[in-house]
Amino acid sequence: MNNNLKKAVKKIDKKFKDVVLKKEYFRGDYTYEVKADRLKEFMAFLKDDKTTSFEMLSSVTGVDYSEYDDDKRRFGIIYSLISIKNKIRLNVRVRVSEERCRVDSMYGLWHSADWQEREIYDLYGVHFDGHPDLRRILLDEKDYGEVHPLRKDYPLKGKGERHSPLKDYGENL
Amino acid sequence: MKDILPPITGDKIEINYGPSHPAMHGTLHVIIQLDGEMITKCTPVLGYLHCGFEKLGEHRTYNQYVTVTDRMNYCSPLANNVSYIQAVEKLFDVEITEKCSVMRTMILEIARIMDHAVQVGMQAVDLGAYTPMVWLFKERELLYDIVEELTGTRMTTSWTLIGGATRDIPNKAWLDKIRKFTRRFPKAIREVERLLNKNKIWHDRTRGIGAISKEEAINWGLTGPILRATGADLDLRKDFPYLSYDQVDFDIPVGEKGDVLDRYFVRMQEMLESNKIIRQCVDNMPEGPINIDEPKIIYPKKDDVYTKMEELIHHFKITMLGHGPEPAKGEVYNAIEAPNGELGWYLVSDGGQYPYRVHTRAPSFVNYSTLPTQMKGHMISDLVAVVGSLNIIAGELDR
Repeated sequence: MNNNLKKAVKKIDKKFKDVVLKKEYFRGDYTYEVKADRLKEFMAFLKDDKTTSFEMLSSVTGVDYSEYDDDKRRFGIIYSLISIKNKIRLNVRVRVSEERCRVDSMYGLWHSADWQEREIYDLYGVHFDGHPDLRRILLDEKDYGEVHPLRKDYPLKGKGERHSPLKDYGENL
Repeated sequence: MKDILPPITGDKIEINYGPSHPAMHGTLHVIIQLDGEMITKCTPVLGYLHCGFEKLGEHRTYNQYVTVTDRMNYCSPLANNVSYIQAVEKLFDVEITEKCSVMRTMILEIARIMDHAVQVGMQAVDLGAYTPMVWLFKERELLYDIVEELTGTRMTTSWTLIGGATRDIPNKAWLDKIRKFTRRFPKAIREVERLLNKNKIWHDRTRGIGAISKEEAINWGLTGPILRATGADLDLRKDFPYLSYDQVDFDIPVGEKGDVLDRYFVRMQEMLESNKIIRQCVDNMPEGPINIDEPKIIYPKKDDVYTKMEELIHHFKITMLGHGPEPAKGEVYNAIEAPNGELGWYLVSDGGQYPYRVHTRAPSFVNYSTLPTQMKGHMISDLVAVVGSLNIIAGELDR
């Protein structure tokens, strides 16, 4: 394994004992699962500290874990970071429940979160606090309303939004 | 006369650029606010080509989804095939053969030349030069012939499988064909460079347009030639080597100002570097099988399936629901340097035959989000230059 990654992981483990919920090592990549309310502080450290120095947020992904495990926190947001200086990568995950579907926006730290968070808001319905322009991006606000197609309870063939006014749609359509 | 003309108020006007406009590649739609000819605000509107590829991925097996990946990018479908299967192989923990690794490296570089040729050619057309497009498309056509001979089709290639590829090298002459191409390609690039590099109109239309600083570009998550044009030398091929990139010799061209002109220079140089890599791969093509020796994962040979009972059963075993290859439970993110930038795949597996979640980190999507930043203080005609230089593929953008 990369020496820089070892150093970075060591430092994170030491500094954020109470923030990190889970640390996974799978197929050569580290994934940290952190508390949702401490995410911003954690990410700011990853960006600014010299040993980690993750200048770029390359990918933001949403996952609906409702059929994956028994955890009550249904949605997961995964951030893939990349450090150009240290040449290392790291994934960070937060999990939120359906009732409290809010995560701090990373737009303030990395602008690349802009559209990617909008996409997750669009397809999963997770809100991002502090996002400057949180609107739907791929689907139309008018036609889709409260519908979030990438959630697991949404069927593959749709609920008929395209063929009937939104207020009429039900399970039988 | 007074009744016909609207009153001059000095207000800013708002116009729709696209979604079906010849200069907006694909179905791109930008709402721009104009003060005279200056753009004061521009808001891209997405989703005209949203096909739900990611939802579809949750209902297809890992091998089936390959066919969807090449429909995301019509310029370099092979790069999408390879990048997706690399992520799947990481999830399955499969190690591919040496020949497959070299082949994929070569195919990725062929895809890069095909993609850059379209980008440079089409941008030249957008800015009023027709000839470079015709000359570059001629070279691209030769590559399409090569790809067709390998995969059977020109665009919807679907070449990769978990642990190998659908087809091996067709014959010895095929490699000679590629070798011949690598000999003639630098000449074609030089011809195009002679048309554009010192062209006054080309420089007037591209210099200083859409310039973005290195720090800003990194913060916005720009990758690929657009990032390297700003002077940052992030290239996943060098920084996080995959396949056989650590065994071939090539340079990373970088620009300085990050404007449209620098992006053009970087792309032209990159094509020559890709040409170099292709040549090295052809010369050092290892012997041996292209597929791994793992009957639980890899499909049997098609000829045997049609003639032998056992192989037919084997084929069904892999294809049938509940019998096919299943990875361990887990999540991986794997990215490669696609022609447009970092093309990453986030795969979640629940241990079943279908992926639990497939996410595409499309370079077009992230690169396009910088359009409002790049368009600040530019004229309406510069929008064409900038959108062309970003090389947005609508299929990948909207997914």
